[in-house]
Order: sequence, then structure tokens, then C-alpha cells
Amino acid sequence: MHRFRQILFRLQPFFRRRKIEAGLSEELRTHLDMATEANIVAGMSPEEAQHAAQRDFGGTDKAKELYRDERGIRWVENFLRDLLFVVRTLRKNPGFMLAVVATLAIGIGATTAMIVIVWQGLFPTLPFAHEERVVVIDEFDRQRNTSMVEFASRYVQIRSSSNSFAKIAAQGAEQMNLVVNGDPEALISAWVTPEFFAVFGVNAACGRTFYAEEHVTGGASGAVVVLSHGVWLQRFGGDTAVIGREINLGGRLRRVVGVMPERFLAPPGFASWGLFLPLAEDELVKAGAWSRVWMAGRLKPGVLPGEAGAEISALGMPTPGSPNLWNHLEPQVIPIRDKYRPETARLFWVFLGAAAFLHSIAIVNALNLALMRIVSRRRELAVRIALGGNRVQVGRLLLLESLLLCALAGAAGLGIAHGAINLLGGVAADSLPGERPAFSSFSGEIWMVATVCAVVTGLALAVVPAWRVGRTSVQDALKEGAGSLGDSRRLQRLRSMFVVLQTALTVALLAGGGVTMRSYVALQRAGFGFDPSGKLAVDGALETGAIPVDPYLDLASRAVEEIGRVSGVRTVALAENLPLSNWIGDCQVRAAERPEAPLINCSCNKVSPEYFNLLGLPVLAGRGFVGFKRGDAPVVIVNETLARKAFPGENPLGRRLEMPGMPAAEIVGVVADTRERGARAEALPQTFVPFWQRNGDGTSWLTILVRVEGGQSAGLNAAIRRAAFAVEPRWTMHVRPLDDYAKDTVRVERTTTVLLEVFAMLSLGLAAMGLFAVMAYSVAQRRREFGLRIALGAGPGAVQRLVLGRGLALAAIGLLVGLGAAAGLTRFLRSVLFETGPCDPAIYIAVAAGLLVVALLACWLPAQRAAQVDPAEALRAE
Amino acid sequence: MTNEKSELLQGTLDMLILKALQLKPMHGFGLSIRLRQMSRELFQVEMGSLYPALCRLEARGWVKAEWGVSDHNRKARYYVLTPAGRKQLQAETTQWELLSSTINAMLKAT
Repeated sequence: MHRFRQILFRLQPFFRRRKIEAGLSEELRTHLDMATEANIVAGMSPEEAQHAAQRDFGGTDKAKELYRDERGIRWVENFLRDLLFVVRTLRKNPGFMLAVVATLAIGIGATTAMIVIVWQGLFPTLPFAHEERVVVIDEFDRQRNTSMVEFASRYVQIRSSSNSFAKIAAQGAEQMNLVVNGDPEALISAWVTPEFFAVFGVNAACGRTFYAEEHVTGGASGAVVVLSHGVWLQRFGGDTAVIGREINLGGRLRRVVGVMPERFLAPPGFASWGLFLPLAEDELVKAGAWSRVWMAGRLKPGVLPGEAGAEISALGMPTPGSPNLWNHLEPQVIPIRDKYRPETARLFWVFLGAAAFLHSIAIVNALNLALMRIVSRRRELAVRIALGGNRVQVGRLLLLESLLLCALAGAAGLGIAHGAINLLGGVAADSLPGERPAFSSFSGEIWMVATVCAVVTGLALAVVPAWRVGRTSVQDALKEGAGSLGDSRRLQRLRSMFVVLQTALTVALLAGGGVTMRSYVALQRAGFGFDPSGKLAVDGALETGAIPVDPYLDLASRAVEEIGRVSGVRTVALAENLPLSNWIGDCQVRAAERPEAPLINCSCNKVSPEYFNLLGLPVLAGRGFVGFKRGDAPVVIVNETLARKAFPGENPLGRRLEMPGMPAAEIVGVVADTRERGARAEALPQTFVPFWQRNGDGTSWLTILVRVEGGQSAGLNAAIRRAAFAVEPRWTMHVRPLDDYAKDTVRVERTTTVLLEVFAMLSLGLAAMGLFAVMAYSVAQRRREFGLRIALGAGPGAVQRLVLGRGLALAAIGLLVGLGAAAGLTRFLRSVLFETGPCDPAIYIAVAAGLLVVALLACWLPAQRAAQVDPAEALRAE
Repeated sequence: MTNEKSELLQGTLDMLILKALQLKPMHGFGLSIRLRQMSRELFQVEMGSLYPALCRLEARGWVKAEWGVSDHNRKARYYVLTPAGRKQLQAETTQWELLSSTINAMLKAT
């Protein structure tokens, strides 16, 4: 505390220098006046008295000087004077200042943005109270090496026999129509058990969560609903008046009792949290032992997730049954934070590396500029030192200049970072699992990171000038004529090295960006086997459980008709499973006449006859479903892969296929393969049966596919939703373009491509600027030499070639180094590459060509200037 | 006569100022008179030492300065001893006594 006050006292002069000075003068004057008066009283004449007073107390000015020293005013004055001087010198050379500040601002901005994105991406702030105790419970499938959501019976088991958990919760999901002002929209509602909100330790932001008595079967259960922040904002305009009101959800009125906070979003792997409904625990039991729920728990203090997992494991499978059936499953308890760890974490380090490269290029650029400037100021600095300024003082000036430039660049960089986070944050978030709040560009982190970046940059920038000043030989510098302003060979070499270095870094970035770009294009071109654009999926469904099968099929046909009437709709088709929806209708089939043949794992779908036409899938053989109707003998269409597997080398048409739950069906067509899980996945064997054909259990689940003319629009989406809703309000409608599903399959690739491309282009720009600056400077330095050459008969072409040759040589060396580095570094991208090697020759050649062209452009103007040197003038300038 | 006015021993001025302020708050001129009186007219403190010393004491929080009005109706800056300054004075006095008695003993030794 004491020290702090002392520092404050010392800093005062910074802000109140004038006031302190005035106070001192007044105080000293008072002192002298009093002394004079005292002398007069003692009997002296006024003049004598004043004189004596002055003599007795020493000179006023000396007192002031000493006082200023003590008060720290001198330090402040020196600093302000230096600062003013630096500002003046910089203002005399605005080009230099602008170049350095711009290049550093880009470096600082990009690096800051990337660090903030990576930080918030890898280590998100979770909105859960004591998140270290919140765990997710799921089943690890040893056979498939994946985890899957829990059995409802596990919840009951843990509830009754586990001692590890303070709280435990299960969540089911149901898609329901939320109708607001007559506009229906399908939303996922989460049915949650009583301790759900307590497990996560989150309260309603507004209103309340559920009371215990609301979690009972029948009764109040389902009569109340809690909204997520997103739904509250989008569907109710963020109006708190909605609390207490009744809303139409899933065909009945439910009263809104609360709204959850904005950051309360479903963790990765959970069904989304749009709305919350109270689930009774006995409902969970009734739902059947094997129905699936998402489960989370709050551990008792001191219990480790591993211990809890071992405890549950020891309890065995929660329901009796064939033990062999489930022996590949094992319950696991995972800290919730682990769920947020992206599989692509490694890519984030690649992005960080790219930002570091860009920042290095920016620093090298600025260093180069600073170096040139120091050389051209060499004489001035030498004069200063010769006239008695000591090296420390001169060095302080240069340091101050670097710091001032970096402070400006830091401020500009902060702005750039802010924009970049908003611009690139969305792209980066695409490759992260789960829902999470947007990257915040107004966090403490951004200030901290930007400041650190700027300080590091400032220090890096200050090293070279300081080193130069330490080495400046006064005599040499003063001896040199103005025309041959000393630029030592060593310095030239250093600058050339800088150019080579930044070219190499740029080439590495360009190669990385190029390879991912090419792979992305290849992915797009490989496609899915059909064109997803211009098609809408009216996702969502009506389960036949709700309605008997026949009326259900009638409804489906009517919905197709009604939607077909909406203007802008071209074709409508029905399908059980949407293409690209990552859903695989697992079933096993074989040729009916070969009961001994092995069963083929196959993806089975139910579709309406228009399905193939709508997707543009050619029926390669047979007539397809055309002419078949409800009640006809069972028929099936197979894709090429299945035809090849089940009937190798034979014509499958007219043969019969054995499928689960229905009599053997006649094959009436073969369609082209599709890769519904994305271009990377192998085409699966597929079967399609007409949607009216029922299989054993009679359940069916139909979604609607719509092909529209022109693009989709919000109005069209709403019209389609309303049309389907008019046919059957229980039919949930969620309209989403197939394009979106398609984009989902290449999210990580898109993120990588966009980010690397942005960094590569920025670095190319900076490197070009660096090369240009170095060449332009060297031409200015060698004016006399060029003048002499021209005077001795060299043509402008020869001089031009001289400059171009040197610039291109530097670029070429950088290019070679960079390509070598790229070959080593791009393998970190292997996980996102598709049909493209990390050392793709075409890309490397393109990068080389592109770089040389840019280098040529950067050297062109300086070369031109060198050729235009007027020998007479250049030689006279001495 | 003037030649006999000797310079103060380095470092003792601060202590003496604190001592002078122990009785009552004083302005700079008053302090210089008081210091002279205390030394029985032997020490003359120059402005060039007095004001920097006051500034130093203020920075350390041992004295506080505030503007006031002198007996002759003149605006003047008055220096007041703070509790921390009082403590400091005590510490320095003790130290000084120890030092001076030791030196005296050494000088008297035969």
C-alpha cells in the first residue's frame, strides 16, 4: 500500500505537471516575501532585505531544479520531449509509418483472432455450476468403437443402486409442432426428469423450472413448458410476457413457466434443447427397458468419474436378457468437458500455426522496414552521438519509436481481431461439436492476447535498432559521403535473409491452403451421386403409432398433393429416410433363391415413385415403381452395389429379394449409387420399396422431399409447412434445404480451407509488400551505381534485368525453402484431405508459379525506376 | 560569522524537519526559521535543500502538505506530520542516539 502511494505520487507529474510547477513557484515566492518582511522588521531597507533573503536561501532556480528532480518532473519532461520528437520524425515519413503499422496490425489482428478462437473453441466456458462434477453417462460399444446413448433402464438402476451420484437426470427427445400465430414449426422438445436442471446447476433466467409435482404421469405433466433462450427469442421475440401464457405445442396448450439462460445449450451428443417438458420417472420405466435416453449426472464431491464408471459397470446390464447380446457394451462416465473436445483439435493447432506464420511474416516485414530506416538515419544518429548524446539516449529514442508504432498497430490490430472473430468465428465454430454460443470478440482474452502480441512485436522490433546503435561507428558514419550512405554488406545480407524467410513462410501457407482447397473442390465434385441443390427436406414425421396404417398412407398421399399445389414447388416425394441425414435403415437381405448365401448388410428405405426423379437418380435398368400401386405384390428397387453383391454377373431384374418382415419382393429396377454419408464414404448397398408396402412391425415414418423452382425462401418454407399442417397437425414439419445437410458433411474441410486460404492470401500480400519495399529501397540506395552503369553504356533493359534478377533470385530461394517446409508441414492436414496428397505436385507448381508472378510484379516498379535513373543527375547528386 | 554556519550532515535534514514539525504544522519559511533556532543559529538550510527534502518526505507519506493562511494573512503551504512520520521520527531518533553515543565513546577512547 505504501509503495503504491509512492508510485502514485511519482506519477502525478504526468497529469498535473503545470499545476505542480505553479504551486512550487508560489511557495518559493511566499518564502522569499516572508524572509524579506522579516529582514525589514529587523531594520534593513527593503532593497537590502530582499537581497539578504535571496542570499540566505540560495538561488530560486537552483531550488526549483532540485525540487523537480526530486519530484520526478524531469523524467516526465524528458519522456514527453522524446515522444514529441518521435512523433515528429514519424510524421516526416508517413509512408514508413503507415507501412509498418499496417503490416503489424494485420499480424497482430490475425494472431489475436486466431488465439481467441482456438482458446474459446478448445476450452469453452461451460455454463454449468461446478462443471467438474457434471458427467455424461453413455454406453461404449466395443465392437464399433463408438459410444451410444443410455438405456432408460440404466437410469432406474443408477437411481436405486448407485452411491456415486449426488443427482442424476435423463432426457428424452420428441419433435413437436410449435404453432405461433398460425405458423407451425417443428422443434425438438426435451422431456426431462426431476433433477435435470439441478444436475447442470442452472436455474431459469426468467420465471422458474419445474416443481416436483409437475413430474407426474397424466396430471400436470406436459401442461407446463420451459423455453430455451433461442426459441424464446426467435418465436416469441424475447418478450417476458410469454411467461404464464399458454402456447400451442404438439397439439395441446401448455403454460410457459420459465425461460432458460442464453448459454444453456445442449452439450455435444445430446438432442438439442429447444423446449423442456417435465418427464415423470415412472414414464421412463413404462417406456420400456431398451428405449434410449440421454443421461447426465452430478457426482458427489470427491468421487472421480472413473470410480463412478467402475461402480455402474459392476452393477451389470440393467435388465435381464441374453447377456451375450450386450456384452460388447460397457457403461462409461465421462466428464462433460471431454464431450466438448473436438476430434479436430489438431487442426486448431494448425490454424494457430498459420497465424504464427502470418505474424512472423508481419514482424519480419516491419523489421526490414525499420532496418532500412535506421540505415538511412545512420548519419543523423552518428551526429547525435558525436554531439554528446549518449548511446542510451539515442537507443531510448529508437525504442520509443518501436513501441509507439506497436501501440498504434496494437490498437488497429484489436479492431481487426474484433472483425476477424465475428467473420471467421462462425466458420471455425462449424468444425466444433455441439451447440455453443458464438465466439465472443468482447472478452478480456482479446485485450490480453492483443496486448501480449503487441508487446512481443514491439520488443522484436526494438532489438535490431538497438543493436545497430550499439555498433554505429561515429567516425565511419560521418566520413561517408551523402551519396554512399553506408549500407554494409552484412546488412544487405540480413535483409535478403528476411525476404527469403518471409517468402518461405508464405509459400508454406500457400501450399497448405492450396492443398486443402484442391481437396475441398475434389470433395465437392465427387459429390453424393445426386445434386442436393434446389431440394428441401420437410424433415420430421408422423409415426404410424399415432394413426392406423391405412389412414396414415392416405394422409401421406394427401400431404404430397397439398404441398404440390404450393406455388414454387415442382416435385414432391415421400421417403422414410432422408438422403444425407446420416440415418441408415439397417437391414439384411439376400437373393431369395439362394437361402444358403450370406446375408448382406444393407440400407433399406421406403420411398414414393417420384423419389428417384426428384433427386435426379437415373433408373439404370427396369421400369422402377411406375405403374405400381398400393395393394400390388411386393416389389423392390436395388442400387448398383447391391445388384453387384447379391447377383454378381447376373441380371437382377425379375429376381426376388428376401427382406426382413415382408414376403420376398421382385426386383423391378436398378438405380445409380449414392454416397449419402458424404463423398468420403463408400457407397452402401441399398434397397427401396414403395412407401405403401409394409414390413413386419407395421411402423412407418415418412418425411417429405420437395424440389423447388429457383431457390428456397422463408415464405416458401412457411407455405409448405402450413400446407402439411393443414392436412394433419400432428405431422411435424421442419423444412431444411438438402444443401444444408450436404454442407454438414464437409464442415471441417470448409473451416480448414477458408481459414488457411485467408491466412495464405494475407501473407502473400505482406510478403509482396516486403519484397517491394526491399527492392525499392535497394534501388534508391544504388542510384549512383545505376547512373554510372547507364553512363557507361548499359541500356535500360540491362539495368531492369539486374534488379528483376535479384528480386526473383530472392523469391526463388524463399520458394525452394518454403516448398521444403510445406512438404514437411502439410501432412498435419492429412485428416481433412480427400483424393489429394499433402505434396500434391500440381498445387506446388501452381504455388511456385503464382509466387514468382507476384514477385515479378513486386519488383517491376523498382526495376522500372532503376532503368529511368538519369545518369547526369545521379552522378551530380554527390 | 557566516562561515561558521555549517552544512548539515547528509541525511539528518529529513529527521530534523520531522522533529521541527512535531510541535505544529509549519510553512517552508517557518520551518527554515525554526531549524535555525533549533540549531542555535548555527545551521542555515538553503531553499535548494529544504524543498526537495519536503517533497521527498511527502512522497514517502511522512508529511502532508495543504494550503493554509499564515499569521500575516498570506497564503502558504503548511506541512503536517502524519502518523507514519511520527513513527519514522521515533525510529530515526533512536537510531541517531545509538550512533552518536557510539561515536562519542569512540572519540573519547584513549
